[in-house]
Amino acid sequence: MVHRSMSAVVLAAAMTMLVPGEDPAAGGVGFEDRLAEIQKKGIQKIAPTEMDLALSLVDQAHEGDERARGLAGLQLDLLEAIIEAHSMEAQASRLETDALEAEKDVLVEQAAYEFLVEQILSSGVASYWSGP
Amino acid sequence: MTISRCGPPPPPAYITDVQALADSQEAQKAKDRAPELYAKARDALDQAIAAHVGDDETLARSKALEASIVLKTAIAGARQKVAGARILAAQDRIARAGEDLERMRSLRLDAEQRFLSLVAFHDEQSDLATNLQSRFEADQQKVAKLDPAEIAAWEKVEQDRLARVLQGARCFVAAAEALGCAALVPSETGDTLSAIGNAGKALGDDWKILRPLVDDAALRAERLLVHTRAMSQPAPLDNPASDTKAVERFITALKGTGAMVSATRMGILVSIEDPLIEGQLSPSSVAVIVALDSALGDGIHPVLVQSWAPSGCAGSDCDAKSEDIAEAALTALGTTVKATARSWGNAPFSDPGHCLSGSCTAGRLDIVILAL
Repeated sequence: MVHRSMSAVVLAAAMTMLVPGEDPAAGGVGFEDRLAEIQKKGIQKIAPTEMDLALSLVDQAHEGDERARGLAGLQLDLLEAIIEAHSMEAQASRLETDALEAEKDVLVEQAAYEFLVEQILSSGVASYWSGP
Repeated sequence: MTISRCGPPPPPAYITDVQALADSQEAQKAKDRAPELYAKARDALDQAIAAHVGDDETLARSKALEASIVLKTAIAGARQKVAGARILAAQDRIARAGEDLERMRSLRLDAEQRFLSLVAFHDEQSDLATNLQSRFEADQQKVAKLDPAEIAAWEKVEQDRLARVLQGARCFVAAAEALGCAALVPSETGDTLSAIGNAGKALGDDWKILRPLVDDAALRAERLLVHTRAMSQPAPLDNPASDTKAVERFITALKGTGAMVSATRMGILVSIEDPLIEGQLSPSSVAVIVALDSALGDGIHPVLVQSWAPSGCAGSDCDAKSEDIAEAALTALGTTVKATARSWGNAPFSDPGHCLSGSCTAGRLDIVILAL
C-alpha cells in the first residue's frame, strides 16, 4: 500500500512536469528556457533559418504534436551545437591571431639581437661572437 | 497490345535535399568526426525513404526533417572538433612563442651586458696603448742622447724587461687557454698566438723593433683573456680578483702558510716560493694547497698551475724541474679544481715581485684561481 501511494505521487509529479512544449530529454529544462538561453548567445544572427524552424517546431509541440516535440528537441540540440561551434571557431581565430602576434614579437626580438651582434662585430670590440 | 515499363517514381525534393546534404563534403567530414550522429541521420533518412515508398508521407516528411537536423548537428559537432584542434594548436604556438621570446630577450640582454663589459675594457686598453706608444717615443728620444756604452747597458736592461713582459703575455694566454679561448674566441686566439710568436722570434733584435712587437703581444694577450671571460658560456666569467671579499677570503685562509695571495688581472694569485724539497712538494707547500682547496669550497673551479724552475738552473734540467713542480702541485690539488698546468722551465718569472727571497732557489709555484 505504501509503495502504491508513493508511486502515485511520483506519477503525478511526472505528469505535472511533462506539459506540452517541454523537452523530456533536456532533463526537465523546458523548450522556452533553452530557447531563451540560445537567443542570449545571438543565434538569430548566426543561424536565423534554423532558429525560425526551432520556433515553429516549439509552437507545434505546444499544440500537442508529438512528432514536433521530438523534432523541436533535436532542433534545439542543433542550435546549441551551432552556437558552440561558432564560439569555438571564434576563439580559435582569436588565438591564431594572438599566436601570429606572438611569433612576430619573437622575430622582432631575434632581429634586435642579430642587429646588436652585428653592431658588436662592426665596432671592432670583438671579432667573434658565439651565441649560447 | 502495348506494354510499357515504368521505374519507381523519383523521390520527392524533401528527401533528395537531405540525400544531397548527406553526400556533401561537410557531411563526409562529419562522418569521420561525428560518426554516431551521422549514422543516426542516415538511419532516419532510410526510414523517410521507406515511409515514402509505403505512401506514409507524413512520417516520410518527419523522418526526412529529423535526418536533416541530425546531419546538421553532426556537421556542427565536426566543426567543434576542428575548432578544438585549432585552439590547441594555437595555444601550443603561443606557449612556444612565449618561450622563444623569453630566450631571445635573455640572449639580447646577455649580449648587451657582455658588450658593455668589453667596451669598458677596450676604453681602458686604448688608453694603455696610447701610453705605451708615448713611452716608446720618449725612450727613443732619450736613447738617442746616450753615448754607445750607455746605450748598450740600457738595451740589456730593456731586453730583460721585454722578455719578462712577453713571459707575462704568455701567462695571460695560458690562463685564456685554461678557460677555453680556442673555442670561445678562435680568431683572436690565433691572432694572439701569432703576435706572441712574432715577438718571441724578435727577442734579441734591436729594441726599437722588439718593443712594439712585445707591447702589441702583451695587449693582445690580456685582451684574449678578457674576451674569453666575456664570451664564456653559459654566462660571462668575472675575474675573481675583482671581488675584494673573495680575495680577502683567500688571504685569511692562507694566513701563516707562507704563501702570498694577490689580486692580479689574471685572477687570484697564490704564490709559493721554493715549493720542492728533494724533488717532493714540501710539507708547507702541501699545507698551502690543502688550505686553498678547502677555501675554494664546493663546485669545480678552474685554476692555472704555473711553475718555474730554480733560478740557478740551466738547460733541459730547468724544464724537468719546472715540470716536477707542476706535477707535484697537480697531484696535491683536490677535486674542487679543474687544473691546467704550465711549466715555464727557466723562463723569467712573469712577476718577480712575488719572489720575496729574490732568487727562489728551489723554483716557484703559482696557482691562479681563474673563476669562482
